Amino acid sequence: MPHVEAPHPSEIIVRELVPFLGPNTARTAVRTFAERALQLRPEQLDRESAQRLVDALRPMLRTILGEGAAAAVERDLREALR
Amino acid sequence: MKLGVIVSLPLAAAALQTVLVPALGADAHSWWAFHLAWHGVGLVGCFGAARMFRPGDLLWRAWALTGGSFLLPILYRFGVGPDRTWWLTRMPGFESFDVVYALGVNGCATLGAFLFVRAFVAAGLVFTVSDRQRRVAAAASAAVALAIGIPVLFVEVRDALGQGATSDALFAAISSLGDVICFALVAGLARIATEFRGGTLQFTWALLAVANLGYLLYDATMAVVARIPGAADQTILATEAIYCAACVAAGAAGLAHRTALRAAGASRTPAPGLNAAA
Repeated sequence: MPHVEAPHPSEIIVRELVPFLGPNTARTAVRTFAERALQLRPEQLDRESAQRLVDALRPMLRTILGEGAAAAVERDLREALR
Repeated sequence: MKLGVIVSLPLAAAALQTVLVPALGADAHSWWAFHLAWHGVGLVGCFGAARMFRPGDLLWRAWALTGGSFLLPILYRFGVGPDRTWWLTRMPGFESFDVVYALGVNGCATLGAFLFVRAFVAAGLVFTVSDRQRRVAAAASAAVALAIGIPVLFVEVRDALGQGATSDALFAAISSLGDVICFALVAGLARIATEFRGGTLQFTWALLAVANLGYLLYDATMAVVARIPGAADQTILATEAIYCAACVAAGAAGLAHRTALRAAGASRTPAPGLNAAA
């Protein structure tokens, strides 16, 4: 059976943000918030720190999407990171 | 409503008006009714988007203010009527009220546009272009706004001073000043639309940029044709089509935002507690 590598946590978060933020801003947001809130580069994120990154992204999501949509996106992010 | 349909609304509305007005007669009653309809579209779109946010949220304020810039003209039109003969025109101090009304509409539109530009940075997002490129784009937009708006503003202020402080010219001058400021914000709105490219939010900011550009073009065109004998009648379909597209673009921006948020909020993961309740 071919070995399939699981996507990196940062890639999972980017993938969830792309539909509304677009690929450029989704990628920039992950990098900016990871560096700003966790002092980590996206490639240094593991599953546990990625969950903390989702916490850090919450105010941004609420500002742009409003509380309801932001909560739904956050749920999807956490589920995808499990 | 699908985003592709929403994006085409401004052009569709402008085309519809251009076809219907000659058939109905391009008189004051037709324009009164069409303005009412397009402001109604703007109002519904903006207040519909505001409802997706909590009162007090930055984008709630942005949408509420932009919606206010449509609500006030609707109330005003029901006050003055198509021939400017209805009850409001008979109120004492109506001319002063006219100026306050112009300040209110343009204040709402300008502050709303500023908050839409502010939202990107307030959310903690960063631009992918350099600060220098961003400043150049903002300066270019401001320069174009001033190049188009200042000559118009100059003529209207001169007329206003000549005709008294409560004249139609003062009303037009306030409107043009508001549009110049709004247009100076177009670069910011367009920049944000570019940052969101590939995502559903790009349509909201792009349509807001189109709306603000349309208002300035409309005011500039009106100011020019008013000074060329006979030009106003010949170009009225074109100038009113610009205004129609601008109003509907603002409403479509609200509808696009609402659609994008609904799609983002349609979580694939059930909310906590729903499974337990099932």
